[in-house]
Amino acid sequence: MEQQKVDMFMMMNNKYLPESQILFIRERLLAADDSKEGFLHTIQFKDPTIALILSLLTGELGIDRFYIGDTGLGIGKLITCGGLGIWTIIDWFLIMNATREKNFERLLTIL
Amino acid sequence: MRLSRGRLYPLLLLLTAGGYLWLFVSNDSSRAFGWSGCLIRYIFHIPCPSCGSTRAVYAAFHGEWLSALYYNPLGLLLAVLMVVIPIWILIDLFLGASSFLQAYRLMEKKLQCWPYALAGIVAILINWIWNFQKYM
Repeated sequence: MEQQKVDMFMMMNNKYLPESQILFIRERLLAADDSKEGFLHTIQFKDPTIALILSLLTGELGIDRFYIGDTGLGIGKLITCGGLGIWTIIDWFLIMNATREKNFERLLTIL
Repeated sequence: MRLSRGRLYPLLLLLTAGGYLWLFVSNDSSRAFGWSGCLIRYIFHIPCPSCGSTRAVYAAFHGEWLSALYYNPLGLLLAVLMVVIPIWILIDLFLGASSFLQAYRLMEKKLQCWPYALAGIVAILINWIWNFQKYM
């Protein structure tokens, strides 16, 4: 893909993607062919801020995990009272990065 | 977080170990620390959908299935999972297979389809309402 388009994509989406993978994603995008571009614009990234809000308010019910697509862990959190409240608190700190990792995964399935 | 075998298995083993530890200490912990294991109950003084599951798991392990069902049906599910998951994972680790991971992924995919998701949500809500009647 052209450099300009890649830069544009990165600028719009870098808050949804893990910091450590930004350079890697850029290279993959530059190497990808133009037919992927249409797909790229159809991906809906999950917003880390919303995940954090959900985690703070409803983390006890695992809704943050359901939101980012970790259904199995969401159920685990739901039926154990948020891991007895401990997992809930741990997830307040982990959920933003977990969201970004999930987005990265989703991007990789297209590239 | 891509839940690979190397990440999911230790996490689940840790969770089950935590579950057994909780069963072991929970009898006096609520009296000793004032912590019954539930943030919602602690802050808002209302029961959450899984309140009573400690008692339910405890009852299930003592063979009192009906009272487990009364305390919380989710506890029965939890008791089964607490027995099945570690055994399945250990067999997998022993054989070097990943059948549990495949089953987990399949289950996740199924539950993301809306008929299953809707059924799950309705079941949880009904259970929550029942919990309100039992534990308020």
